[in-house]
Amino acid sequence: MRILLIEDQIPLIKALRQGLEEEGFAVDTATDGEEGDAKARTTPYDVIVLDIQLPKVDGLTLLKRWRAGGINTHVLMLTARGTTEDKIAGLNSGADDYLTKPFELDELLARLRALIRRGHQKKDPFIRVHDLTIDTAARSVSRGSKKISLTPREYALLEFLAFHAGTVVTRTMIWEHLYDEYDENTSNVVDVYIRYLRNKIDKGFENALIMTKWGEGYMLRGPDDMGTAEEEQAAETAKAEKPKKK
Amino acid sequence: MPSLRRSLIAYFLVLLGLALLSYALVIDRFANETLHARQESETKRIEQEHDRSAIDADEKFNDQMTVQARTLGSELRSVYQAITEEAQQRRPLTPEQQQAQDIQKRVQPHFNTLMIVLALGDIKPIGSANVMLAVTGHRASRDHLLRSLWGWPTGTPTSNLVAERLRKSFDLSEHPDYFQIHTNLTQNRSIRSKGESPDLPLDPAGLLETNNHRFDDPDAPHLGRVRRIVYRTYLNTPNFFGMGRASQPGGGARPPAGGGAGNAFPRPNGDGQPVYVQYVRKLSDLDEQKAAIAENRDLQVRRIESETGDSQARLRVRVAGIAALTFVSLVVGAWFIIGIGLSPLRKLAAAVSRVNERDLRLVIDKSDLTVELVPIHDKLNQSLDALRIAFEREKEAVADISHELRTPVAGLLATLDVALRRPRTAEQYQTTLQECRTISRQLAHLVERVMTLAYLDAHPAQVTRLETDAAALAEGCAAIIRPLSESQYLTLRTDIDGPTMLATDPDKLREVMINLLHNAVEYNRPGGEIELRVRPGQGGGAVVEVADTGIGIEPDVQAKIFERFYRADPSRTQTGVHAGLGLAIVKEYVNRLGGTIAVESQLGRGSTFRVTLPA
Repeated sequence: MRILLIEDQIPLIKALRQGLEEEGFAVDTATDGEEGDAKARTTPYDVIVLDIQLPKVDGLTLLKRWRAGGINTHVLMLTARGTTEDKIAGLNSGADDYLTKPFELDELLARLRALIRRGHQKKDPFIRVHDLTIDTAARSVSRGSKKISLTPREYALLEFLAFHAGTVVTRTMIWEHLYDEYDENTSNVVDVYIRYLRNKIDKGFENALIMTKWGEGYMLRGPDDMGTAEEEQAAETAKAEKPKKK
Repeated sequence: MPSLRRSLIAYFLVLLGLALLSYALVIDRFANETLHARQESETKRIEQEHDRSAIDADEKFNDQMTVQARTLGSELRSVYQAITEEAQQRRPLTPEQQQAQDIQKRVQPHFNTLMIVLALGDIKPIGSANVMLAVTGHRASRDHLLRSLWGWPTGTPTSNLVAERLRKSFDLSEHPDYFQIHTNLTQNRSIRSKGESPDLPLDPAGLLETNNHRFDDPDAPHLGRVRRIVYRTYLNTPNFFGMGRASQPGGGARPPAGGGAGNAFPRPNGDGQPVYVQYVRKLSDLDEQKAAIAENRDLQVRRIESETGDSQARLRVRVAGIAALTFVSLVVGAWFIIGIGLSPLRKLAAAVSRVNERDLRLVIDKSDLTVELVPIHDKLNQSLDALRIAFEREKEAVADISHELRTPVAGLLATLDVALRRPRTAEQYQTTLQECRTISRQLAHLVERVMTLAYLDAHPAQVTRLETDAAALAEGCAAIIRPLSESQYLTLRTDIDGPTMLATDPDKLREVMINLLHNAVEYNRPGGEIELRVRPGQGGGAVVEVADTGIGIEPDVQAKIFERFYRADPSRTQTGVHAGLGLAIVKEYVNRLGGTIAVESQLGRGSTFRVTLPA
């Protein structure tokens, strides 16, 4: 999940970046209004965390500009101004949520996750795909009765696939949502992480859930799609063989 | 709490009550006087009327008596004349008659008084013939009287007999009024009625020659208090008894022949025999009348008195009623009038009561107010405006301070939260702690500045002026800042002309210089320069300039940089120590020292802050 953090307090940026990345978020930062505007317009972030008092262009102006310009990315306002009037002004400008400084990191994370779920029209923190259950609140995954432990990035990848279960997500989409602006890895890492994920999710189970769509990307099998492990295996083999043919 | 309306009304009522009371008293007094004057005059009139009535009654009483006496007199004359004529016609006299005549002649000089006592009732003066008839209550006509008298000269030898026959002819018993007739024709004999008669003495001397009657009130035995009239008339005696005619043919007393003196009405100064008629009437009659009149008078006086009392009572009731009505109507009127008069005040009060800490505005239409209230309204509005501005500034300041404090606290908290989320290496912990320390310092500094400003706000005018050398002070400050500037690779130079003496607060001046130099360090570019210049001002005092080679300040921002919590470039908080309070504090200090501060700046080239201080 990729987040844009627009904040002028350097110590806070540092702390939040570390905290969010450790939770599997990809974090881009901007320290003034203009930079934030530019980034928000070019990248499809899952959530933007926006401070109100910003150099150059303040947060409320930015938000109004985005909403007027059709940018509907979820925005969480983050500000030291805590009066009701300020909150109302923020929400009226098009903010989806509002958090007052100082705040608990856990609360910020919970609110971010809630906003992300809302972005995928999901209210239930549990995502269930066949026998796979993802608890987006606890960030835990289980298949059948087996608990699966994932790294933050693997989890983020699985969650992204699960949000789009039944539809194909391209590598670029995955890339854009899982990696921040400073990540210099190529999109190949997506394939790498898909393999890690397959090993943990599908290996040893009868039905493979993660499917490869050639030339398009990957897909987590939707609830109606009952594929078999063999098919997947065949697909995997074919995929492996293809480069060899080339 | 006393109400304006009620107290006004109370005062008004007291005044009104006093006024009405005094009016009522005055009216009552005047009315009383008038009424009593009227009563007195009325009483006097009644008294006079009464007196007049009493006199009238008296006169009428007397008149009646006079008429009575006259009637008696004339009656007597008529009878006397008739008898005389009869006597003349019956001549020649029988020997008995002759004898009687002789006797009479003989007796005549001694017959002084013929007393006829008649007891009569009310005698009405109606004509002459029927008087006796009417008054006696007996059917006695003059003819009857004459017939009775007729036989007297012949039948009765003595005047006593005459008198008896007279008496017989008048049954005069049981009548309170008395007549007494005296003539010198008869002997001093009295003819009395049955019962007692007063037998009043006669005092003819009391009658004047001209006045033929006289009244007096003698005490009469058996009758009590009476009024008496003594009436004098004259009888033609010679005609009857031959008196006045010394010699008559036949040698006897012969009444004169029909005409002549016999028919002549007796004149007062005539030569006839005087007859005195005394008519007596009980005064009790008159007293009764007078008593009735007096009673009538008393009745009228009492009526007048009661009328006066009634009028007075009525007047009092009316005056009291009018006063009460006036009072009530004026109370009601005053209530409304005062209410109307106070309505602008009430509106103002309502407007004032609507003012609260959220809405510090006096919402009232000025046309609703009166001239007296406009200054209050204006002053209130001014005060409220000042208060609103102060509140807004306070609110902004609190919001700013809370914002400035929350921001580093948020950073601190986030840093700590992140560090504590999972086990870290010792190095990671150290980094975290260092970050926390930096943020804490920033916080401490911020708190310090906020406190300084708060202190300045709370202690408006604490300036200790001492003779100070600004140049020496500047050197000292430069020495303090130099290590900091060198750590940022900046060059700090001083341009000081020599001793610049002025009377000022050295501590505050030092604070100003240090702050400006701090800013110059903070907002400079790496490797830049700072210059501190001190020179004497024109006309005394000193000019202190701090010039840097920093980013400069945009012209439209230059006026705002001295406001609290304003920062030319908020992004420069990277360096930590800044909350936009430094220049606000500097300006406050400079103001207190009586100086001015100005800034000249070119974007990208640097800024120069100039402080001008008085001597």
